[in-house]
Amino acid sequence: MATYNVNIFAITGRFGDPDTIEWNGSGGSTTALAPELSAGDIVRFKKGGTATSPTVSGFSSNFWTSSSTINLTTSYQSKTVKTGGTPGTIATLTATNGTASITRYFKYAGAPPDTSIDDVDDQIIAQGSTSFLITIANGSSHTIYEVRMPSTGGTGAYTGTVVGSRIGNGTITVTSNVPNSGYDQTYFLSGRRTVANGGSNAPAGIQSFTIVHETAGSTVGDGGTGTYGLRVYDASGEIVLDLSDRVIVFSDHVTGSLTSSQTTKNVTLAKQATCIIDLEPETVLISGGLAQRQNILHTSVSGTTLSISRTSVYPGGDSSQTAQSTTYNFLAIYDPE
Amino acid sequence: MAYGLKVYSANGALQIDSSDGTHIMYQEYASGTTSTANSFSYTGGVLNYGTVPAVIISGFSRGEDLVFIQPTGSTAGVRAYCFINTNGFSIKTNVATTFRYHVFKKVTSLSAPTSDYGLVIKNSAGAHVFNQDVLAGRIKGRITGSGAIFMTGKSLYGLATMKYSRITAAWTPQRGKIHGWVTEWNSDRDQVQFKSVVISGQGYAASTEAELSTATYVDLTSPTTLILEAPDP
Repeated sequence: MATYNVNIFAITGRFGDPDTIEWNGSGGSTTALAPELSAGDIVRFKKGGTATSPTVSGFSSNFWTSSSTINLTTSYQSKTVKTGGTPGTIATLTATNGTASITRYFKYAGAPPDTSIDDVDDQIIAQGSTSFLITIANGSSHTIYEVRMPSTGGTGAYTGTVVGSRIGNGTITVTSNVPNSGYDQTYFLSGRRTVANGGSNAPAGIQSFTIVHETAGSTVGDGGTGTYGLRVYDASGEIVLDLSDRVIVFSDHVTGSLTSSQTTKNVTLAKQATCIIDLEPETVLISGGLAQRQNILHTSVSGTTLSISRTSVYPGGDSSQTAQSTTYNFLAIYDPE
Repeated sequence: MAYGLKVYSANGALQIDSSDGTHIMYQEYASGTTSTANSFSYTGGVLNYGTVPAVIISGFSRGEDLVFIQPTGSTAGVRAYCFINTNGFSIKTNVATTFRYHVFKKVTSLSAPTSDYGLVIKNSAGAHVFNQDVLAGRIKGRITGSGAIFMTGKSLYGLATMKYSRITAAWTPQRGKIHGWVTEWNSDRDQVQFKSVVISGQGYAASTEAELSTATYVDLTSPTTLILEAPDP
C-alpha cells in the first residue's frame, strides 16, 4: 500500500487582497492527469500558511473509506482508498479557503470488469428442483462472473457468499442455497477482473435476480369430452348448451375489509365456489420503494369457505411502517365438474 | 322433486336443477368485438402490455357479470388479462389486436326468453332457470395454476380476470419486473394456456439491499380460471 502526501498552502486575504490557496503534492489538475490509487492506499493532507480553517471536501464513499470533510491542520490527516471500488472511478477533491478553492483528481486503479452482459431473468423452478442455472451472454473472458447470496451484515449487495461462478460466457449452475418449495430467494450477480487481467479483483455489481420455487402441482379440470348431458339448440340452430358442457353457477359476491392486524380472513360463501375474481385488484404496486403488500390480496376457496390473505399488513413488509387495513371485492362462481 | 328437470354431468355433478332456487346459471347478455390494443411501451427492453380501450356494456353489473375473451386473427402467443370495471371491462395484452367477447349474467337477471323453440325450464316460482334463446356458459375446462386446455377445432375463450404474481426489484440501473397471470392462445384459438409471465418491466430499481426486499412481492398461490367454448359474436 502506498502513501501519498498533499500540502495545502492557504493564506487569508488582508487589506483588500483575496484569499489564496495552493495544492502541492499528489493529485491531477485534470481527470486525464489523475494519478491511480489502489485499495488500501493512503492520502495524507495538512496545511501551511496563515489560513486558520481551510478544508478538503468531496470524499465519496464509493472511493474512500470515510466521506467526511477534512478540516486541515498543520498535522497530517489521512484518507484511505476503500476496497471494492470501481476501477476507473474519478475522485474529485476540492480544497477551500474562504473565497478561494482548487480542485484535484484521483483515479481508482485497474481496468473494470465487463458488466454489460445480457439481462439475467427471474425464474420459476419446478417443484422439487434442487438446482437452477443462469446463462452469461455477451460477457468477456477477462471477467469472473459470480452468483452471490445477499450479505448478512449490510456490507453491500455484492459481498455475500459466492454460490456459483464462471469465467466469461456460459452457464452457471447453482446447487446450494436453492429456495425450498413455496419460497423465493434473491441473488446478486457480480463481475470481477483479476489483477493478472489488469483489474483490481474487486467485485462490481451487475444485477439481482429472483428464483421462485413452485408449490406442488397445478391442476387442470376435466370437461368437454364426455357424452352425458343435454344438448339444446336455439332457433338459428346454434348450440346453446351441449352434452358434457359444464355450466357456470353464481356463488356469491363478497365485499368487506381486513383490519390492520389481519393477514388472513375466512368468509362463508352463499354457495360453494371454484373460481374467485378480484373485482378491485390493487393497481399501485410500488409506492416509495415499498411493494404494496398490505393491499395485494390472494384467495383460495374450498366448498363455501373463501380464504382471503395477504403477505403483510405493512407496506413493503416493513414493520417500521404503519400497519394498514384493506378492503376486498370478490365475485365467486362455481362450475360443477 | 315432483316436477322440473335435473341434468347431471358424467361425474354426477348437477348442472341444471329446477328445484334449487340458489342454483343460478350464467347465460349470455352481450357480445361483440373490441377496439385494437394500443399504448405499448418498453422499460429496459421489457414490454409493458398495451391496453384495449375500455369496453362499456350498457346494463353491466360488476359483482355479478362475467366476461370471456378471445383474440381475433391468427397470431400465436397472444396473451391477455383483464380488469373488471363498474360499466364493463378493460384488456391488457402483448399484441396489438382486437378481441371477441361474451358477457354473461345470471339467468335470473336476463329478460325472459321470447321464443317457443328449444327447452323451457322454470322453477317452482315460475322463474326461468334456463333461457333457451341465449348461449349458456359452456365451460370446457378449469385451470388452477399453470396449465393448458387443448380441444381441437373448438373456439376457446378465457375468463376475464386479473392477478399479479410477483413484483421484483433489481439493483439500479436495472429494474425489477412485474409478473401476472395471463391467458395465452395458439393460432387456431383451440388451445389456451394459463400461466404467470412478465407483463411489465416497471418493477423497482433499488439502491440498497433493504429496497430490494421492501420493493418485492411474491405470491405463490395458484389462481383459477375457466375456459369457455363459444361461437364468434
